[in-house]
Amino acid sequence: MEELNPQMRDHDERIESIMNDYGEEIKRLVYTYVKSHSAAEDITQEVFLTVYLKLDTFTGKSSLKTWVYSIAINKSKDYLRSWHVKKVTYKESILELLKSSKQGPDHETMAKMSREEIAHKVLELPIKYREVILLFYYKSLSIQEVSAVLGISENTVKIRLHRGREKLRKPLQFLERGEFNG
Amino acid sequence: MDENLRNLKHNLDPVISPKKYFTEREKQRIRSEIAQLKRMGPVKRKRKFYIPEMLTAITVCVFLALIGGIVGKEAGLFTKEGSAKPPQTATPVKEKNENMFDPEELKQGEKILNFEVKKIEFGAKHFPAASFTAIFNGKVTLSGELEYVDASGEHFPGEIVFHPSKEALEKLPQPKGIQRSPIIYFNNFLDNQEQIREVTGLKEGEKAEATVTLNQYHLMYNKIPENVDYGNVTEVNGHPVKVLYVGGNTGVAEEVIPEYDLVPEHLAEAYHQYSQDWDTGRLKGLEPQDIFLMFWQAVDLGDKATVYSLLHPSATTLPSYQEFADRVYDSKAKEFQTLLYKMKEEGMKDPTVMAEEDSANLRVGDKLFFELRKDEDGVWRMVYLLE
Repeated sequence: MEELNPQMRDHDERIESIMNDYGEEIKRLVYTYVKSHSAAEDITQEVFLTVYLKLDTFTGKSSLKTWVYSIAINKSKDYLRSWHVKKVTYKESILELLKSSKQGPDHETMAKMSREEIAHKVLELPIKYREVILLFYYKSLSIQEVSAVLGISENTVKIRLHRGREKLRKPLQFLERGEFNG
Repeated sequence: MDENLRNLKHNLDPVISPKKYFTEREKQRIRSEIAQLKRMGPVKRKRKFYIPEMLTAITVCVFLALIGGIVGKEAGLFTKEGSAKPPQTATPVKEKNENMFDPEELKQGEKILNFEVKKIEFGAKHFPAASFTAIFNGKVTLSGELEYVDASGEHFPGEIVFHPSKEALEKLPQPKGIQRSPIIYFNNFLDNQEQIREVTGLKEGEKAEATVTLNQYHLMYNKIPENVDYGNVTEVNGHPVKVLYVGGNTGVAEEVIPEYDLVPEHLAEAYHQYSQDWDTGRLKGLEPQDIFLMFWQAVDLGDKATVYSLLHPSATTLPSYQEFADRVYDSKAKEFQTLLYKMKEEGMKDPTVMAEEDSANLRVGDKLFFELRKDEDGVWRMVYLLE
């Protein structure tokens, strides 16, 4: 059997630990960009392979979490810019999931619909607003961390958060009033 | 609403997957890939992203054969002599159109009609099925048809695309010898789409003749029946298309000023793009006086978001953007306008700059002084006392 050198062994241990710590949240984050389960799986794999290959270049200037997030976001955006995604659009989109899940109007289903509609509304936002809303509220990153992960200034993060919230205000008000059948 | 957003994790996680989403099987897949990488040593890993490996190989081969064939034929490479540089007479010139170019000979900076080649990529990595992409900078107005694709459509459902007319196609750079009738899709599409819908009044499933002005054109050649190119759209039917927000609504509503009053021509594009996305990257490398002029340009246009984004985050006591937009800006508006008026009178486009490594002072005329400092990204920002 091939003898691993100490650096490789170290990398193997680190990637295992990174996958355990961040695998779940990275795949979910990637999904919020690409809105396709199969693409989320492929991209997540690419993310961890890139992390593995670039472990030596990680200087610790940012936190490990923001570094891994940045790689995941860049990979997701690469995918969204690709010809492939423009052409084969959102076959497994959240819309499909939502359509298939709409059942009877009992209380539990209504509550579920409301929850799904909220998720739906957020995922419908243009990417530049969606990503700050999701990183800030869904991933609970601070403004500073969102700024570091996305490579934009903190002011820009605040503007986009504000704009994103404004874009959600009306639809969420409808939902809060129970008008969520649209 | 805030409550809903704070509960986003609770709302979104079950929608994505109520179960564990990153599975042991996926970890195993990654481990196998890593093991394969180790076996391959330092050799660059073959990309097999998004489309099956075989398909990629076939696509590339077919493409090479096609491009090789077409370009080779155009260049006369398959003459009996087999010479790589056949005599010119061996190349019958069929196309005299000035918009035609040879993909293999295209060079960065080359000019074709109104366009200049900004970037060329063969087998571009982000477009696995694309074989050739070229980005051209230049302004052109095209006639053709806008289509608001039906939401049930297979391609671009619910989005607006542009079909250039035959005449329009002659205004766009096109690869020599390759039959194309591209569809043009718009960059920054998420925002542009909204505005184009407003400007045209198109309804889902409808088509309408239109003129569209682009300031950048991405040509993509790939081996599919329809070619999808991309364009940065600036006008539709003579209406400027720009991402502007008025009172919290996304819309067109305001007119684009093609030549800005305060930012000089060489900064106009950077300013224009920055004012749409406030991406710090666009400001890197700019001088203090550039940022100064961009700041005041935004003030002049009443673009609160851009004004806010150009303020130094720590040297200026910055409120939240909401507070700035709702209260602070208005309380400063008169002061801003007065200063702007005085500076315009003094000739603000050429201020006296005293810059050190991380801070700079600017003087306009004899009495108006301003300060800028670099932020942690090394980008100059305005220091302005808001309270």
